[in-house]
Amino acid sequence: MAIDSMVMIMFVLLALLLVAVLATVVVRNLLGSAILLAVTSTVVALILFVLEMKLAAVMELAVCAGLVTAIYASAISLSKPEQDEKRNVKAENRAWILRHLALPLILIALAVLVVFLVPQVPIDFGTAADAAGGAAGAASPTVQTVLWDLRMVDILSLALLILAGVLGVAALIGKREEK
Amino acid sequence: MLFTMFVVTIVLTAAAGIYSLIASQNLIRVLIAMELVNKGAALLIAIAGRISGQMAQAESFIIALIIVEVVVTAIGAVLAITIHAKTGSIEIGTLSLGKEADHVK
Amino acid sequence: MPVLFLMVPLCGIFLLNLPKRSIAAKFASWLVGLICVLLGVLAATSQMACWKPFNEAFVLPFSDLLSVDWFSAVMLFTIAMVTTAANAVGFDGEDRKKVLARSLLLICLTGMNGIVMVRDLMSVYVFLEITAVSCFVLIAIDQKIEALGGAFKYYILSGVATFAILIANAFVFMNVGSLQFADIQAALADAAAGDGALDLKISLVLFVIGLCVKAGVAPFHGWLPDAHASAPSAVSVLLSGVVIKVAGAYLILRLANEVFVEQPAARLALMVLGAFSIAVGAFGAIAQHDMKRVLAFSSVSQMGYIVLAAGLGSTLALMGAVVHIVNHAMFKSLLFVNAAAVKEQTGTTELDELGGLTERMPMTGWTSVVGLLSAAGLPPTSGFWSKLLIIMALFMADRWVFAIIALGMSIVTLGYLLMLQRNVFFGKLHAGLEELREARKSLTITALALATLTSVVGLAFPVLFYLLSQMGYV
Repeated sequence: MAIDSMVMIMFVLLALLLVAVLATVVVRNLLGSAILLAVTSTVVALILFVLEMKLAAVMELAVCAGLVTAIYASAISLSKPEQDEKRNVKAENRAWILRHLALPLILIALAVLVVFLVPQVPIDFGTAADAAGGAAGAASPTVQTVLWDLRMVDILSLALLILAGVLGVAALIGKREEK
Repeated sequence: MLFTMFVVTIVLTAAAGIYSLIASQNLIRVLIAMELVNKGAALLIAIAGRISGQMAQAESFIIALIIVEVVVTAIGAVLAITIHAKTGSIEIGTLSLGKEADHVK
Repeated sequence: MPVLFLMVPLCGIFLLNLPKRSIAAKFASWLVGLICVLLGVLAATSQMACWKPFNEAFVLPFSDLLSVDWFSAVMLFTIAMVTTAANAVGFDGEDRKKVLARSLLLICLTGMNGIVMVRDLMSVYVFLEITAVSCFVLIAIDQKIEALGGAFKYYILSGVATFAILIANAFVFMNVGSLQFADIQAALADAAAGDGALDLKISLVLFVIGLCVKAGVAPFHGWLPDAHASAPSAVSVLLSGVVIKVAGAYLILRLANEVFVEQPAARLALMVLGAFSIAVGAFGAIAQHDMKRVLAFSSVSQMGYIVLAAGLGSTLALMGAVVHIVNHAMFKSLLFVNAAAVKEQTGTTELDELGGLTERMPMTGWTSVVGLLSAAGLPPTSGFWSKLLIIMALFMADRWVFAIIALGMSIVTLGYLLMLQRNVFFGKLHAGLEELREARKSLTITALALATLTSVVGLAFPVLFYLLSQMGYV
């Protein structure tokens, strides 16, 4: 019973995700696209939360839905194309939609293909995972132990990556200011 | 059933992202497309962790993935802004100029 | 001990960025050079027994996640060598940019060191991204339009490559439950022994695609000439000299021979890609009008040899691939250092505007000849031996077609490099270049050192080979 409701929730979330992804791709406005990407991130965070990956869900929500959207917003505002008053917005929108007409067809074909090709793999859900852990007797490690004890190199390398990002942004942006 | 649902979603997300990557002319839209593709990868790792029973490891992978994503996106955005500042345009077409000049010669 | 390869450059980055930029700019080149030489010495001695007590005394929480075997040691040495050359070429511009560029050089070095030391696919992914991010910025650091375009192209294709690698990782993780090389190999061996089939075909295909993009192997090489030719001179040295090898060829070799062993279809695919790449790179190079673009296409071609040997996978071929990685690092950095000298003295690398430079820049001209001979695989230089090993391995495995392609294309290589040499260094001095002088000391000394190394390794290779075989490496 509990598992059934789980499947329902997942189904709704995945459907939501697809809608958000499609909207992100198809929406013509760049800022709107960035905001829809944040919505996509939020849905992914919800899915991760339902999958009981709480830390990852929080990270996804804070970093991808928050920080990345801020990056996009500033990038878009810094690189706003010169608006042409006389542009025929309606015709442009129509051309845009026509150009993206192929997308739904490709996606439907892919979906049908995947449904037929992918084998059925059972996923144990919620209580089942706890039961498996109880049966094995050994408590499975938490994320904290994995990150800090088993995968210490990742912490180091991620710190290095962030350093690279900071220095890189400084190196590319700095020269513009002095102009 | 659930697995199939997940795989369908992941494949469609990645396909939409790749389509957008190929079809779009705007550099920032390209960045957004790459982000979509990455979302699909994150979901696949999550589901892989579920199936193999290594949830904690999968979670640490996803955290690493998210941090990588934000740094790479930041660099990409800065590149796009710099290209805009130099050429006054944010279309992909402006980038192949150097190459075409080379071919003409 | 392996930790030092990450910590020493990290300390260097902090030392560079803590003082004021104007002060840091004064000692930046010396500091980075010192770090590179130190790392080179560490790498060269890393397999000796004298490090054992140190390893046992200092156990950090992540010591056991890093390891240096002889292949890693060779790669670490190559990385240190090429970074030294890139550092000697240097960057121009104001203090702030110089310091930041050298910091990024160190980050790139650290990322590559990480790639060759970790034994876990996820850590490999993170270190790959560190290397890639620092490379994007380094390519674009002069903010020239072509360089920005090259960097963005690299950015997109690298994004596609890392996506392929990630999905492959996810499939492996789904099947095995771990991403450590040892675990994956054990699981595959179990599956082969009849303990249940592991279906890893999708991830194999994706790994091949992703790593070939990173290595710049032929159908996926679109970004390489643009990025490598438009980058600042020092960055071209780094990119062509070592980044494509560590991010692409090293990982292909490591995965093909230590993780996904016994996968004949993947091996054949690698060989076909390699042979294709050799041809595309060689014929592409003929059509170019720019010295740096010729050299970039030549990189595509030489990576083909490495991938071809990696695909063959016999002991002799692997030996050839590793030696060719080192050789290519030596002669391609040499040639790019000389391209930097030409660019600095004449202001251009267009072939039509150059000619007869040997008269005025004898050191640059004659060291180029050494690099050219090594690239074409002619006897007195080290390039001859690695190509000989690879082609011999192909003949011994009865891969006649591949062997003939490899042999034939090395003649084409000689052709386009001779064309390059004649257009740039030999012949009549091009009009307007009468005032030309030899390049600055740091460039000529680097070029001379690399040329000497190439010839010494070439002359002493039989001895080296004998020593290596005595030590049980061959």
